[in-house]
Amino acid sequence: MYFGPFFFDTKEIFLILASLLLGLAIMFNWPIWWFDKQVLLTIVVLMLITKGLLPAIHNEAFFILAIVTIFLTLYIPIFQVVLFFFISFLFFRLLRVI
Amino acid sequence: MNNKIKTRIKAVLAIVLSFVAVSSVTPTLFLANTPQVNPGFIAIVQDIPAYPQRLAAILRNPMSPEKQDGDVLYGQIPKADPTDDTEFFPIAKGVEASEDRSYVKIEEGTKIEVQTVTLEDGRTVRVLIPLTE
Repeated sequence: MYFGPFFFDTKEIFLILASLLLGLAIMFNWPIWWFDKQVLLTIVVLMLITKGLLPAIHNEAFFILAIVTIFLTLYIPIFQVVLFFFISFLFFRLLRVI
Repeated sequence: MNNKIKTRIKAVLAIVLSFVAVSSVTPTLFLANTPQVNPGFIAIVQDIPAYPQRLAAILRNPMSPEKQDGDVLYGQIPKADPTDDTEFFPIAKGVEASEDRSYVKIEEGTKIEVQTVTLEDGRTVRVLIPLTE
């Protein structure tokens, strides 16, 4: 889908929608069971940045990493989750996944 | 094996490796899950140049950790060759200093206590205090 000169694929639109929803949830104090809203919003922003830098050909690896990262926010502190997210890209590169 | 399956296996392997790396390295490297670097880790890194000296000390005194520490410390004290006409005066038992205090001579066998002192300007220095007992 084109917004002006920019092209967004379905995943990017859903990520933006998710971040908007999270923003609304934080603003209106909507409960999200088990998950920390601020942690999720931080992760979604990081994912949007990395998604913007990554070619669409690597969508599958990105999808697996995104799911695992979101799941890990339930169990480990945000700092470790952020480190995990970035170190995973390093290993993706080393193992030639991306 | 199919190329797509290979990539998926590698992706899962990368994720597992990074999880292991994060959960094992983070407590040593960072302080209480914050981006602040652990001072203990900084001390380990700063101590790396002394590793060859420590290895030599262990080989020389394999059974005495105290002597090992002493050897490492001795190796870290800066050495200088004063001119022949430099006069030394005793300042403590087993310790002599030149008149302008530029040089200090420590007799072999002198026991020295090492203390780390933080100065008013924020610098941290190591002070050698001869034991007089």
